[in-house]
Amino acid sequence: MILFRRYGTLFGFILIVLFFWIQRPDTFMTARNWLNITQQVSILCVVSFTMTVVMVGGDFDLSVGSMASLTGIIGAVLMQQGNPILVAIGISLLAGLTGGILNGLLVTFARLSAFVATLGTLTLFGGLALLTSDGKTLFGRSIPETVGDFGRGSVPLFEEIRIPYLTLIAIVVLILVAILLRQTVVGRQLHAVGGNQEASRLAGIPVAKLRVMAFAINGIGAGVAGLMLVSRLSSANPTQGEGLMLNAIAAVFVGMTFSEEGEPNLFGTLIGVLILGVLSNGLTQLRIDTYVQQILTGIIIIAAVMFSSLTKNRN
Amino acid sequence: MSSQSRNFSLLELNGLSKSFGKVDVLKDISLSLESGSIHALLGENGAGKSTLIKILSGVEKPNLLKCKVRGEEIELEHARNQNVIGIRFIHQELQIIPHLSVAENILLGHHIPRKAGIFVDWRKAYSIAQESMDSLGITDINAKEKLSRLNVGDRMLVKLCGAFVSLPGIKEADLYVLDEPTASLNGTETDRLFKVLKKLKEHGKSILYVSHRLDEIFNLADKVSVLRDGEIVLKCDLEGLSSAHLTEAMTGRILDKSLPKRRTKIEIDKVLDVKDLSNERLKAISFSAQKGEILGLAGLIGSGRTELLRALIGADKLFSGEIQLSGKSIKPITTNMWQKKVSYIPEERRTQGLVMNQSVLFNTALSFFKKEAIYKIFFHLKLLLQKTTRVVKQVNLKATGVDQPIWQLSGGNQQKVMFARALWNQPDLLLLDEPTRGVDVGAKQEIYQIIREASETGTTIIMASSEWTEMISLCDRILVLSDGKIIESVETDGMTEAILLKRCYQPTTKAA
Repeated sequence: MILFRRYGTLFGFILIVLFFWIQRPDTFMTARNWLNITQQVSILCVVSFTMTVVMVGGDFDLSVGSMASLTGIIGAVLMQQGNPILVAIGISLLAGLTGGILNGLLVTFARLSAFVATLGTLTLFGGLALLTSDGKTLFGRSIPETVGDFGRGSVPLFEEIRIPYLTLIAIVVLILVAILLRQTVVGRQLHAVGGNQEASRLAGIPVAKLRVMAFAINGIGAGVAGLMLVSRLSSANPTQGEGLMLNAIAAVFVGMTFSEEGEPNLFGTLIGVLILGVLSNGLTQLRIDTYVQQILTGIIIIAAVMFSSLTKNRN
Repeated sequence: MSSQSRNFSLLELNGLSKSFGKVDVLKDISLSLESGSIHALLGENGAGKSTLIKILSGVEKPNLLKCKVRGEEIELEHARNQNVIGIRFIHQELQIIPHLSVAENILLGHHIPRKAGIFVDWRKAYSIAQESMDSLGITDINAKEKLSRLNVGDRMLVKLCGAFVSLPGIKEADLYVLDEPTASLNGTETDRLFKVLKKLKEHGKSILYVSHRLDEIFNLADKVSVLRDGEIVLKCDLEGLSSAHLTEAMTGRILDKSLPKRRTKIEIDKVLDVKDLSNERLKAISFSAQKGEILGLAGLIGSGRTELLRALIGADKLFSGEIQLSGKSIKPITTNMWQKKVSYIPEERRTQGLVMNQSVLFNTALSFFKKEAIYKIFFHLKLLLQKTTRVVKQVNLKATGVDQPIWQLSGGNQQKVMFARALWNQPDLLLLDEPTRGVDVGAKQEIYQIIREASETGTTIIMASSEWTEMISLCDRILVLSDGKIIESVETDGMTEAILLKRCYQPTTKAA
C-alpha cells in the first residue's frame, strides 16, 4: 500500500502504456515509436527540467513559454540576417539568461510574488517577440537548412535504431539538472530554500542569490527550448512557445506526487512529461480528436494529483 | 472590592480525565472558576494546558468529566454550546481576518445586522462594534478601520471585543478563556490588554488566564492553579506566593540542584565588542562579552531581546553601529556570520530553524554544505555523514538515524538538532533565543548541560529567555533590556528571581 501511494502515478503511467499497447499492438510498443515520443517531448522536457529547479526553490515561472518564443525569434532573425548559426544560438541563450535573471531580481530584490512577476514578464516577453518579428512567422529560406536538418536528424545507435538529436539535448539537460539538484551544494541549498526560506536565511544560506540562479537556469532552459522549436519546425513564430508553460508546470505537479513530502523532483517530472507525451502519441494513433485529447489530458493531470493528495492526507 | 462577597462559582470541573491511547494527559482535574476573579492556569509546555482548553472549548472529548455551570450540570459537547453557556475563547493564534474592518471582525461568528434581509446594515454594525469597544474603555480604535492597519496588540483587543459583543439572541459571556494571549504582544500592548482584563473582572466576569510567564501572573491574577504532568499540583490564592514556589510547583524541582554550575573560570579575553548598535527596534546598544562567558538578555516582551540577537546574526538591517569579533570588525550578514563561527538558534524552531520536510542530516549540516563541499561545489555526503554522526552524539539526539525526517522528532529532539547545527564547527559565539521553549523537562536538562559544556570549552554564549530560573543559574551576567535599550548589566551571583523580575519591571512601572 505504501508503495502504491508513493508510486501510484507510476502505476497509472504503466496502465496508460499497457492500454495503448493492447489497442495498437503493432505500432505502439516499438523502439521506433518510443524514439519518436522522446523526440516529441524533448522540448517540453528541457523546459520542465529547468522549471523543476525553480520549483524546488519554492517559486515558479509563468514566463517560460513566451520566453521560448522570444529566444526562438531572436535566433531566427539573427540567422536570417546572415549571422553565423553559433552566434545566433549564443545571443538567444544570452537573451534567455537575461530574462531569467530579470525574473529572479523581480521576486527577490523587488519582492514581487513569483506569480505577479512572471505574469508580467510573460506579457513583456510575448510583446518583445512580436516586436522583434514584426508579428510575422519566419520560415522557408530565412531559416538555414542545417538548422532544420538538425531538428529532424538523428545519430545511429545500432542497426536501425537512431537517437534524434533533440532527444540527446533533452538527455544532456536531464543529466546536468540531476547533477545540479542532487550533487551540488547550491542544489541542496535550493532544496532548503524551497522547504523553509526563513530558516534557510537565518542558517546563513544565500537565499536571494539562489533564487535568482534558479530563474536564470530556467531562462537558459527556455532559450534552449525556443531554439529547439525553431529547429524542429524550421520556422519561428512569435507565439510558438505558448503551450510549453502550462504543460511544464503540469509535469512538475504530476511529478511532485512521487515524493512523500510533495516536493518537486526530477524523476517525477520526467514521468510527468512522459505521461503527457504518451497520451498525445497514443491518442493520435487511436485517431482521437486533438480537442478530446486535451480534455483527457486535463482529467488525467487532475486525477493524478488528486489521487495522491487524497491518499496522503488520510495518513 | 465590594463584589468580593457576592462571588459565586461560575464553572466547576470535577474529575476531568483525558488520555490519548495509553498516555494520560489529564488526570482527575478539578477546577473552579468564580465570577469577578482572574484565575491563572500555569504549567510548562506539555503539562496539559492546551488539552484542558481544547476540552473546555469542546474540540476534544474528555474520558471522564463532571461539569457544572452556575450550579447546573452540563455537558461540554461541542463548540457551538459555548455561546449558550457563555464562555468565550481567545486563542494564542488570533482568528481574525485582516482584510475586513474592525466592526466585521468584532461581529465575526455572529449575525451581522441586515436591512431587508440581504443588505448589510453598516450603520448598526459600526455602532454595535463601537459600543462593545466603549464598554471596555477602548476609545481610540475606529470600528471602520481595516484590521490590517492596527498593530498586533490592538488586534488582540478587537478580538476580545468580539467576545464582549451583546446582540439579541446571544448570551453575554461570563467566562473568558485566554490562551497565552501575550505571546505576540509588546510591553505597552500587554499593559493595555491587562487593563481591559481587569475591567472585565470589575464587571463581575471570570477569566481563565493560561500562561507560563510568571511575571504576568503576579501582575494580573487572583488565584492560580498549577498543572504538572496532567495533574493539578497547586491550587490557591496568589497572595503571599513567591515565584520560586510557583516554579517549583511547575517543574517539580528545586532550582539549585538541577542546573549545571560553572566549573571553570571565564578568561578575560574580549571575544565580542558591540558599539552603538541601532535599528528600527534597537537604540544605541553597546556591550562586550568575554571568551566562554554566558551572557543573558532579560527584559519583558518587546524589550528588544530577540531583535538584538537577530541584529547580531545579521537577520535585520542596522542603521548604525559596529560589531567586532575577536578584534576584527565584521559586517553582519547571515551568510557572513555563520562563516565567522557565529551560530544562532532562533526563537521559533519550526518556522525559523528547521526545514521540516528534510532529514536530521540535512538540517544539522544546513549551514555548512559549502564549507564541507568538494572543490566548494559538490555536495560531500560522506563527510557530512561523518560529522553529523559525531555532532548528534555530542547533543545526545534520540533518532532512528541521521536520515530520519525531522518532523517525526519530538520538540526536544528537534531543538537538539538545532544545537547540533550550532555546535558543528565549535563556534566562537553562540546566540540562543529561548533555547528551551517547547521542550520537555528531560530534554531541558540536557540542553542546559550542552550550553554549560559549550561555554566551558570556550564558546561565548548570548542567550535570551523568559524563564528566569534558567537565566539566573546559567548566565554569568545579565543585560536588562527595555524598549530597545540596555538599562543595566547585573552579575548573577546572589541574584534571585524576584530581584531580576523587579529590575525588568522597573521602567514600565515608572512609565505607568
